[in-house]
Amino acid sequence: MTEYILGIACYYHDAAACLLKDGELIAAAEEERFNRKKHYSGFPHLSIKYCLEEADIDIKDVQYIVYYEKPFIKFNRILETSIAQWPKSFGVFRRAIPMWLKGRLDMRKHISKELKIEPSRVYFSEHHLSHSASAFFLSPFKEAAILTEDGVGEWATTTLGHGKDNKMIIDREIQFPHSLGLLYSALTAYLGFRVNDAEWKVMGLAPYGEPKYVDRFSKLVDVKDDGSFRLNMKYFSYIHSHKYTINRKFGELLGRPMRKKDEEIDEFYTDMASSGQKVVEDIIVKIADFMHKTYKTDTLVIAGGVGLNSVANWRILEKTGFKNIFIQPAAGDSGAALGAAFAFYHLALGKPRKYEMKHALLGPSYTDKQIKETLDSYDAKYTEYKNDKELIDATAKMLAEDKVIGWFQGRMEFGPRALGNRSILANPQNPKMKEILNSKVKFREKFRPFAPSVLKEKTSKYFDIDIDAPYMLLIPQVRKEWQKKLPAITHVDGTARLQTVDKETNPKYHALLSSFEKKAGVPVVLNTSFNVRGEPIVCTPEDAYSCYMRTGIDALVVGNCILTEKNQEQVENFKELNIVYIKRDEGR
Amino acid sequence: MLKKIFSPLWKGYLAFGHFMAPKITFLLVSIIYFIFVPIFSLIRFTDPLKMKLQEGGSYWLEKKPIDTSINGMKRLY
Repeated sequence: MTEYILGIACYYHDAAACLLKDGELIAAAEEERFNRKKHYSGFPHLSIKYCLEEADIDIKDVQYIVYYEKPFIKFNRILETSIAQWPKSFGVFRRAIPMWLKGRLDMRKHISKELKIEPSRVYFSEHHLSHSASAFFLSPFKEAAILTEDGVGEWATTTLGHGKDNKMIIDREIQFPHSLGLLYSALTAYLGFRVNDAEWKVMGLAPYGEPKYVDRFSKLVDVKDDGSFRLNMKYFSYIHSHKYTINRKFGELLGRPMRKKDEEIDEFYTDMASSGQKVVEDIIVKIADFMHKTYKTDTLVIAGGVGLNSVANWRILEKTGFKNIFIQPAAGDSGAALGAAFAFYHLALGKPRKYEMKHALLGPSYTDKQIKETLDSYDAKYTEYKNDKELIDATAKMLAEDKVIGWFQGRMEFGPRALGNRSILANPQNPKMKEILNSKVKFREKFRPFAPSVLKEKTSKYFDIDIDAPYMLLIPQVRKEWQKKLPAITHVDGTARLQTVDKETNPKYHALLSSFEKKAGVPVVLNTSFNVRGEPIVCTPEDAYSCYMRTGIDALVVGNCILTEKNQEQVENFKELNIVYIKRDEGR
Repeated sequence: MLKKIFSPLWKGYLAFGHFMAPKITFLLVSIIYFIFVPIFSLIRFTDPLKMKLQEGGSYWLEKKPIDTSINGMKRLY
């Protein structure tokens, strides 16, 4: 009998679901992609529906439903914190307690009600166990040290462990309120960006500054030689406030108050981004160093939201003894859905490992017929190509002519990165391409870099890296001789957040890069997510068409069709998208 | 006839309930928070959130083994 396990993550941010069929991951998706609400945290009904459709089964066929956290332990943390922080914690207490007592506490009943299943099929995996399992069991390694670093789960915020075959242990932890994720969020808030959304911006801003304020920033956190740390909580508010991450003293310590949202990002704040990033990197490197000595292995796997800090990941490779590294591409909470399912499969059911995550293309795909029906419903003008080669050559030609391309192919990516199936592509050789993209399509801050995709077999010619980086989670240097030739993807410090493209896992995208190389001379394209700022990445052909019509994308390549002409009357009808930001769950 | 009389009354009662629910919840939660929570807060002399910084040593805490058996994962805690 086929064994199905459904993994669920929700009720903080980035709700998601995944489905395992006999230990193979066959589908995974974030809810925001379907309901178009960025960072949606509610129950992932649509993701679950998609997973079941992908397997062509009903929820009745799923034997085990595994939730990514232990609700009682989390509730205990909220209570303990409220008690310890009395009377400042009233705001958190009065919001969280009714929410938890109303249904969140009895999550088994809640999930069974939402899915209309018997409660006996619902199981629970600890938050950091879920993260750790998502990193280790999906990695190609038989044995590895496991590092999980995030904001907070139940109590743990950083955990260390070790995995071998289908076994895993977590043996050390740092507990709330001391958290690297929350320290980075505090920096994000201080710089005037949205917490749990704009941490990328801090990472992108940091190389523009100098780490002049490391001494000041270091006073926020006491770090030991083994990388263990505690935050100096007098500077932070998140422990007793649902609204504020930092307090006035934080600004006083750093030398200036928190930057206002629309205030100019001057040298001081840029240097502070650099200093904060450096302090966090140094802590992570110390932790990794300690792990290397403790677990006596050259292999490290990483999960948790801080694992998306690709600069820190690269520093681990540079500065510690770890030679092999795997970072689960959906390292944040959405990816914990995978870990919950895999932890149950291997640890609770004791099944051997057989799955290795070779790509993150786990979301829905659409047939050429469905795509054509969508385009026809809008009376869109398009050219249909009968074979992939012609389509790819035509696309590569447009790229070489500096056109901005919306590229929509195959299954949607799982995780925060567009990896060549829901991507906006452009020529990285054009020195003005960053400005073109920002003014026509992305409307992002100027300091944010764009990432490159490169043919895997030609990576080392252009980038100083000798391992695979398929998920844009490592930041090597662009080789000196190529930095000026690839200006649109080379960041101010000469680095690039790289994606290596493998022929085996994404043949169509690989073929596009090969064709582009023949026309433009480099097997590298600029790859940014197919969305506009503040909007989730496109999921359906309709989303792609809508994004194409509302922006300055020159051509849309969707399935086997290419669109280059926009009906101007229709453009007017595509109103400004109503961007919905989802607040961080207050019950946290 | 009875339905005609009671239906709007019932709807009114429900609307009143919906209006009052958050206020009563707020009142109850406030009573619990300001009367019962301080009792627990005051009788605890330890540092439950480990807020104090220490000289030397390590901040790593030993993690108790997680029960990953089927029964262990069945539990909400």
